[in-house]
Amino acid sequence: MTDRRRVLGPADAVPFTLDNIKPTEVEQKSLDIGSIFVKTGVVENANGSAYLELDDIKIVAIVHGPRPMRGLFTTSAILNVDTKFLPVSLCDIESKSAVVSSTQLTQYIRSASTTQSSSLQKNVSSYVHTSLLPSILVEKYPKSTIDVSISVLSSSNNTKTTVAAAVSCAGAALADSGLECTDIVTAGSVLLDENKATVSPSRAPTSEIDGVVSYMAASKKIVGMWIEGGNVSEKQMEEIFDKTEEMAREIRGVMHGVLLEQ
Amino acid sequence: MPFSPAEIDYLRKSLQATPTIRPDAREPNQFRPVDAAQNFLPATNGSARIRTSDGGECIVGVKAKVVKNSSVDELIAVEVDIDDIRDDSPLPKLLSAVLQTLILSSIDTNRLRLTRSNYAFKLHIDALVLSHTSFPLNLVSLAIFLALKCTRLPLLVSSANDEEHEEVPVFSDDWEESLALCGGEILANNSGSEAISWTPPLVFSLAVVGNNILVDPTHEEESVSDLGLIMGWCNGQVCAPLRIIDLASAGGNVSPEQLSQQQSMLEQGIDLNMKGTSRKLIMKAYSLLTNTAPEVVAALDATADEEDGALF
Amino acid sequence: MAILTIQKATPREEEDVEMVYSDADSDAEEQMVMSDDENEDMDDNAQAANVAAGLVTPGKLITEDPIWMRGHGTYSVGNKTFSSTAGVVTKTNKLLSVVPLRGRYQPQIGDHVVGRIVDVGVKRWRVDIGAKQLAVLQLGSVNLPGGILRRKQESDELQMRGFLKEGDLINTEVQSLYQDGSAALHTRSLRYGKLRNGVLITVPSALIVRAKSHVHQLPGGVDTVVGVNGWIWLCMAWANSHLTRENTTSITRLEEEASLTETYSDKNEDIPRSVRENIARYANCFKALAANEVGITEDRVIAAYEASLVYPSAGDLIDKEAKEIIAAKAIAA
Repeated sequence: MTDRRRVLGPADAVPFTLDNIKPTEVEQKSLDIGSIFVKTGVVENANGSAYLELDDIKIVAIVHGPRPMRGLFTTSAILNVDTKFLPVSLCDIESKSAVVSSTQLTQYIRSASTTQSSSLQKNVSSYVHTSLLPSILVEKYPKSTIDVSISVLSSSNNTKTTVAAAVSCAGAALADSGLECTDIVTAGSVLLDENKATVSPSRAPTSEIDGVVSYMAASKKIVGMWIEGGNVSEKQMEEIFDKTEEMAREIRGVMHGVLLEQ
Repeated sequence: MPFSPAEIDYLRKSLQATPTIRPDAREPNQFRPVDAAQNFLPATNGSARIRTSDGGECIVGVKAKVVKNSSVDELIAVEVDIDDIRDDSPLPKLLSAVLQTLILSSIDTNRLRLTRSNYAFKLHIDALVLSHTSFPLNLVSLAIFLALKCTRLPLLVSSANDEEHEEVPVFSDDWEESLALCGGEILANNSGSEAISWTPPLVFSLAVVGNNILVDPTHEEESVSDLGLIMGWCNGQVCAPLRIIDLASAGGNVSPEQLSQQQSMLEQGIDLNMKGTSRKLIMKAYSLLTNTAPEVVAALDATADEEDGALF
Repeated sequence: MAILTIQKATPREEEDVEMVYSDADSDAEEQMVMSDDENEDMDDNAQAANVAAGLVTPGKLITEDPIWMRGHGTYSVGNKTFSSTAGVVTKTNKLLSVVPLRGRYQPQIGDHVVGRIVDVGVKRWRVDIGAKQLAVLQLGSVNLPGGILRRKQESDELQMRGFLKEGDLINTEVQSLYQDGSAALHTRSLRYGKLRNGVLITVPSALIVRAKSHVHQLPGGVDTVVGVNGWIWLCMAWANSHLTRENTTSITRLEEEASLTETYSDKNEDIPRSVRENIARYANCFKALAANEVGITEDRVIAAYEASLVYPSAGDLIDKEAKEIIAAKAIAA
């Protein structure tokens, strides 16, 4: 006999205890690259989406597509990448940024409301585009476009790390969208001091070398590279590849876990 | 213009062969010959023109302007303009950004300082690509090199010391006394630093096809390349920016025709293999550049020196 | 081998002086004025040379005689006939025309050309042959698999892209000209069809000397199709190539069908390294001839190739001096 004067909830309800709270779709792992958090499927009405946190960086990537393209006949899909740095996200970037000269950055902040033409965004978009394209089997989607939009909610002081996070986040979103891919693209960033290499650096370089390299970790292919900051010796090149590959692999591992859990 | 599947297959197989067979039989590290002229724009501090045999042409003018209280990062402004392409499209933006960061990172800004605290020269480097068939980075970089080589700045006659009281820079009227930007003398020898001559930086675009790296790729070679590499060269060493770009579509967006071609090739089982590169190849490009770039710099230096006597 | 050769531009002053001369040459009246000038001798020489070559510039009076019919490249005011392009005066019976030195290819009926498909339309392909208008290749003007005289069916219309698609290069002939100057092409001969096993190079169409045959078998295992439009196809020589085969009646129906399926193939044969190297060498020879404005004939190409063998590395042929030497040898042949 149930008590009808009370609202009892569903029949399969179980009593609340602390030990049956399970963190679902959540992977929080502490690496030497900093703490990373990835969640896919964050946007309901998109084909694929991912949210990624890497230390201070917070990025959302959304994939729409494949969707029909008007007017043009193509036998494989066209990839579009659009990156937006929210004006608030840039407060973190110091005026000394290695991605663009400070002139361009000042210009960017000045024109934060009309951000369409910013060089930084275009640079990042084209880098992400170059990185992602080899992984997608575009030939399987004729007459379609695949649109990836990346919003940087909060960025790190080091733009290369931000870019690496953007690539990884977009890679996760692509995987989430169910588009046919050969691999998930992830990226690593590094900053080389005189004698020390910092993986996933969080400070802006002054005159040191810093770079981001994108990988298809499973096939060990490099799909994107962006290194700046002066002369680079052969040894330093090797070191950049070593460190970034390590970081890309770590992130790839996290992605793997997140995608399988869902 | 799109290519037919048979052409693409022929080009790729030839370029992938070891050693590579380029359509014009060049060596992998051989550039196409260029025509060069220097100092032909009288209104600039230095200018150069480069013309390639396939009809590519680029004009560069360097103008110096006295600026007050400006940050070091702002002393070089590179603007690349490409005929027929909008200024705000990705290609000119990319070229401007690459060249600007490269020159900024290689120049010792003391060269541009006029007084110890306030005044400096700001160099406006304007490149105009009149026509191009292949990726125009090599062309622009060579032209900027030659223009910087012949850039001359007027001699400062006022005091360089303005730490105690304001000093407005005054220059010698005699152009004969002007100093070469790249020369051994620094305008305001204020920092006491050793004045050594400066070799402007260069930046190259390389095409990767199979296991071969090609310098100065033509349009055909770019179209069948796996990807492109951008590599800088300054002070006798490879330097940043080091980037991977998509040469096959760098001229703009991939045309629908190109895409449909790739599709038809896939249907026929022709392996496009346009899928990334390996670390080994990037290191191969690195050593290729280490061997090639000094000769390019030497050739450019020789051209620039020849011109030296015939100034103005 | 020089990694980078830099040619210095000639000083500007000299160029200016030369320009004065050539301006003066262009007009007879001006020539009279100029003859008082101190440069008299040089002017006369240049003028004489140009007249001998029949060179004219736009606006130059060619004749006042009304008996001439006015052809391409001319216009008339009253009885006077003037040139409307820079080119060479040619007289065919009573027809007076000026053949331009430069400019786009002007198709003529019967020209053997190389073209590239740019568009697949309804029952027709549109083909770029380097002329001012795109040429048209009707579905009815090609040979289809299954017999030359087969009727075109709806299924053929549906699979036109299967025969020829955007980007494909074809070896074809100008069948007729439309009112607007665009060309209608046909490939209704076993010699014509899709091109493979090689590369395309382009030279100005004015340099191509019209000949009986534009398909040549060159030494070194290379065949070439020298399109009258200046598009040149260099490919591996092939014993049974449809390019070189005569229009024989002896081939059986089976062979015919086999050759037709191969006509639309996109697959290349296995091309040996030596042939690829020779193709690259020939490409440089053609470019050397074009750079020095030498008319292209089979004999000259072979002479240029033989002259080029002095350079063991064909890559050296991209140098300006090497090009000049080769072109000079080709003319001498």
